[in-house]
Amino acid sequence: MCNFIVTCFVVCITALQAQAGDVARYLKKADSYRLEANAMQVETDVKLFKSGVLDKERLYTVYLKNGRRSLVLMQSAGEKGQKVLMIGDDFWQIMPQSQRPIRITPMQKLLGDASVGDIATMNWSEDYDGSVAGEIDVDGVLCFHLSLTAKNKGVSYKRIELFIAKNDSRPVKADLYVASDKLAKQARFSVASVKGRRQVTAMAIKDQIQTGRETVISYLTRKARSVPDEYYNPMFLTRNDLKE
Amino acid sequence: MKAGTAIAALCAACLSVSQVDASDVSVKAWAIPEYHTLNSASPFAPGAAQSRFGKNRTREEFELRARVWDVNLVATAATTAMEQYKPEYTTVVNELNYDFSLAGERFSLGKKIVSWDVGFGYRPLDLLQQENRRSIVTTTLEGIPYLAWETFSGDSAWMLIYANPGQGRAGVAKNDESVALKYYLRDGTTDWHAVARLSERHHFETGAAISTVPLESLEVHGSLLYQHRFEQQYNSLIGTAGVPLSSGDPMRSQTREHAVTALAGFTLTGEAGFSLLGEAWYDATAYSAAEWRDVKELVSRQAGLLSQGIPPAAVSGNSAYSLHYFDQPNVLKENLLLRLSHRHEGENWEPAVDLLCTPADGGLVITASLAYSGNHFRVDGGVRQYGGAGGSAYRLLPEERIIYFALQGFW
Repeated sequence: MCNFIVTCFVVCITALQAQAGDVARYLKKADSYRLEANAMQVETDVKLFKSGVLDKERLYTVYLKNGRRSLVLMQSAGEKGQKVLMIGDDFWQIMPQSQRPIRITPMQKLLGDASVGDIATMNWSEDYDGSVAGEIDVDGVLCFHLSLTAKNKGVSYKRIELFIAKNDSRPVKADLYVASDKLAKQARFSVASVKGRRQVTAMAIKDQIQTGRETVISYLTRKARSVPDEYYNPMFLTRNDLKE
Repeated sequence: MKAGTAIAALCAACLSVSQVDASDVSVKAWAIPEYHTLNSASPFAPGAAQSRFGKNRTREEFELRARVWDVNLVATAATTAMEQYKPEYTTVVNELNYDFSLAGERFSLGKKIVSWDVGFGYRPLDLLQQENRRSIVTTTLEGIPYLAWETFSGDSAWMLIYANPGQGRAGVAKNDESVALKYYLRDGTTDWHAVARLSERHHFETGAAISTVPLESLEVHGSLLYQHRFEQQYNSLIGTAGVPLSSGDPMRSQTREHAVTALAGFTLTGEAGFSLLGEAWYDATAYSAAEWRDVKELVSRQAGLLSQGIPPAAVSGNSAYSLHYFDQPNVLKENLLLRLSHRHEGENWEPAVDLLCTPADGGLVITASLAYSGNHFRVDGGVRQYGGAGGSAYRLLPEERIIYFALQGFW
């Protein structure tokens, strides 16, 4: 009897570990559709729609580097000179009028025209873990349903219900939940072949709280580029060395 | 028109440089009309006629932001029209700087905005830029001429800066020649800043600041500055017997020693988009409530002379001199600020209300504003009301209300 209980326990643990390993593998694969190298420069176009009508369009240059580091440079005329730096769960912002890097809270990074977290975060595997909740058909695509919870406190969404295609792990849909466990947004991903590689070319995010609002994030160009570590120092934000 | 011509010339100069990409050039246009209501009950009111207080005005600005080769340029051409004054035309190079590396070290030179410190309502450590934090509309600041060496590691940074070279002790403190050293350290969720500066006016200044994020919604910050020397203006007629009028400028500058300025504050941001900022600060270089009582007593005595046959011009002129008491960054030593604002992701409207009070004399300033930002424009509007207890410095201000708009277009 005792042996039976121990065997069952070992089987359960092994199954859970295997599933956790599956989730990590799925997330890495899903990430590869947005993040193709450890360090990248991504040109991003963000369109904000209200009731289907274009309200604003913004351009951003995003530098990403391992260690959960990203630097967002605002490129649109009204925002030119603004920068947001993210290192793990820590965030800084600089405004061109005063050129002073200030620390902002994870909540404050959500308050701009578009969530900087949505623009600059291109990977789930470093920030989330979870389990496979099942298989489901999403828009005619058979998907794994991954139920993810945040490993790090600075992320925009505490819980994500992610749906990835069963055949190639490409992201199809994500339900994004904020700290209060309220469904804040629903994202759908467009995948196409770019330079012979299947990539997420756009992410359409429907606001579930302010209904009628949709943000479409299009990735215009992606290229592997590693800028020196000092560029991710908050005080470096005042400098103009970075070639855009 | 002169301003527009100047900025057009700047734009043409930049665009004519073949290496400049259109995305490296942006232009912003501002129109900022302000409606000022005179506080005729103030004992300073006779002097207001000879000052900028209580006068409606409008300001138009054209700002050019460009990057030519590796040189950063921000220039502004502006016209200011104010009641009873001739229009002023100004062209300012806000920034013109070159950041470069040499032998593995980082250098920077030219003219640049160099803002320091972690506070919002006031910044004790903003030793070089000395930004006016109570302006109703924040346009781009004018930088300072400088030469700087910087070094960065992953978590720390040093900056040695030589500001306003060759200026010595300038007419305006911001333009003083000085050498300053700044150190920054990131320790997890906490930023530490330390500064030291040498200048003729202040001799030695040193201070430190901290900003930390203990919770996802909460940021807490604080600053502390020690100044070996500081200057304060006072009216030499205070405490004198006889007719309290002077044929010349009675304002004198006195040098004092050992000033400590401190600020503590927080920002709290909720999921619904509401942000609350709270700050309290003490500025040893500002006037005390007792000093305000003295100057109030003086200008009241001067105003009383109008009924004794003294020429109004003599009274108003003397009253105007005392308006320099309002020139300080902080009107009183003790200050409390609360600001509540709302901005949701993707939301175009941003309402805010802030309340500044001076507990030592019961003074109060309330500012309510509403901003709307579109794709290529932004509109700000608001009202600032001065008030509080009778006799408080803000009640003595010869202006009781400002209504303003700021219209911006950007391309």
